[in-house]
Amino acid sequence: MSATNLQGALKARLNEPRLARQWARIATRLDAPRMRLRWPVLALGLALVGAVAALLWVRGGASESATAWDGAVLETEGAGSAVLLGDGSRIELYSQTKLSVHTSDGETRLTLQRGGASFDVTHAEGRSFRVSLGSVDVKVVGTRFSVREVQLPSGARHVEVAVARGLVEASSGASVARLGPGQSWSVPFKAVESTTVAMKPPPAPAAALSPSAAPPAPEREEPAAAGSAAPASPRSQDTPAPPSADAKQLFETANRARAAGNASGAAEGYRALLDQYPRDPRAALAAFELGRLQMDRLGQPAQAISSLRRAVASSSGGGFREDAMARLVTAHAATGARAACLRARGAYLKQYPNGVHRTTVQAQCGASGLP
Amino acid sequence: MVVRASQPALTVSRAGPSDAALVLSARAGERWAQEALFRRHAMMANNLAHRLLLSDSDLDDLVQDSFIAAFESLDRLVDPQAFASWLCSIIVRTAHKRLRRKRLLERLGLLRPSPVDLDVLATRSTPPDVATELRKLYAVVQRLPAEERVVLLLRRVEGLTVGEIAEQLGRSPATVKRRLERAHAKLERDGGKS
Repeated sequence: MSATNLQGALKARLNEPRLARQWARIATRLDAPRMRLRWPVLALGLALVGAVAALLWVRGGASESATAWDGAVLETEGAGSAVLLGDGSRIELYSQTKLSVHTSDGETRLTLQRGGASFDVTHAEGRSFRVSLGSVDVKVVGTRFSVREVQLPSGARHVEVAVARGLVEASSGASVARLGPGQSWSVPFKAVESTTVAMKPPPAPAAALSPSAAPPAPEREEPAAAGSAAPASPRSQDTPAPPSADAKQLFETANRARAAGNASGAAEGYRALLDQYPRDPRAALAAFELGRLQMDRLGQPAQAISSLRRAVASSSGGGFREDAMARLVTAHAATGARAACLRARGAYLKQYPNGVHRTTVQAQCGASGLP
Repeated sequence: MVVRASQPALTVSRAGPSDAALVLSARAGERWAQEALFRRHAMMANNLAHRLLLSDSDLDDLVQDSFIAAFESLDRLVDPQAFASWLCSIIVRTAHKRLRRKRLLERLGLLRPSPVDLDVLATRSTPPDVATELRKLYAVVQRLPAEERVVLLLRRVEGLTVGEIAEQLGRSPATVKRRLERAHAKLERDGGKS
């Protein structure tokens, strides 16, 4: 008697409700450990905020002004944390970061000693906001950006500045570049004071990204000779779109934001990649991720349709094309566009008659529309 | 543990994202990818668990435990494309543990042995000769220690080689061979009595 015959005779009694029940229990249990993990993170965050508050209280009472943070040292270990300054500016410290705060009348200066952080700075008339890491100094007037130390596979250290909102003027030696939203810039880490990045007041975005403002060719993520002042340049919308380290950086930054739960930040990153590098190999996945965020997190099903269509059009063959097509059906269903939903559903079922999402897709667009 | 995706009965190939792509996304905590992996392999997992346990009431628990164990240790999967085979080994080991615990509880009198009714568990279209073979096999299997039960079922029902069983269970081929010989001897001795 062959094993195949015996196998065929013993099959579990399965149906869709039973599988759905199994998956629901698996998903619930997968969430459970994460909930346990959140407590240490929360505790660390509370401890950090508590320590800072206590420090300020000891120094003369907590104040609503950013000046009250003078002398504070913020340090994170395994998990990141966020603090809100009195003026509404928000600092998100990445893990393994140490940041000291020095304030005086008219100036807030943050010094990153290691790690990195993102900053959402509230514009305040007559107040300057500066962040420094190694030789890089960032002057801020109301924008959202991040500064962090990056170690390349070669071991070389770089300082990376990424802008989500506002405008940046970066300089290193003779090279001067302007960075707009979604653009980033990196230079080899140097302890000497030779590189500066100045954040300009938020201007019209078109001016920020005009071809005339475009800097020299984009810098690749290649090991730079220690101590050399490699020309630094930002990504521009006019830059051709072959696979590049810049697109990779944008993609990874967006992925990190998504993993950290920052849906709008991640969406901005994916959008920037799609705008600047539409032909990059990561563009299709970025469109798919953007569509998922717009549907699941941002409540923008109409925009999700556009992103998912782009993902379907760009992804050739396997990959996530099937998932994107299934999501497209759900997005149409969410907008109530029944005709479009039926078309998308028909397209999915035609292409993937035994697809992973067949059951979910068939349940969309209303019962009467089922084939 | 490195596993091979060499068992034709356990390897699944179909349209859509590859297992490797889904595993990479699932590793990043993507729930849709985990669900896609579950959907893709749920049938195979349930059937394997069913043949090892022969108990519909324990089936859901075994399948859920196995998938959770797999998702929580995806980082240890060397070859993401071998997810199916890897999941099988997790199911086999988890089933082995459950059977061992069940047998212990039965011996301690804390659990009543539940007889296997193959007429209920086998598919309706099972040919008479196959049903007879299964009754004979499972009549003996029910009385075997957990480790002998699992190796015998993997050999006789799943059709795995000694080497493949050793890999699935994380034991040496010599150990598997010894258990298999003992199980076969009991099958020869007691098989006619059932």
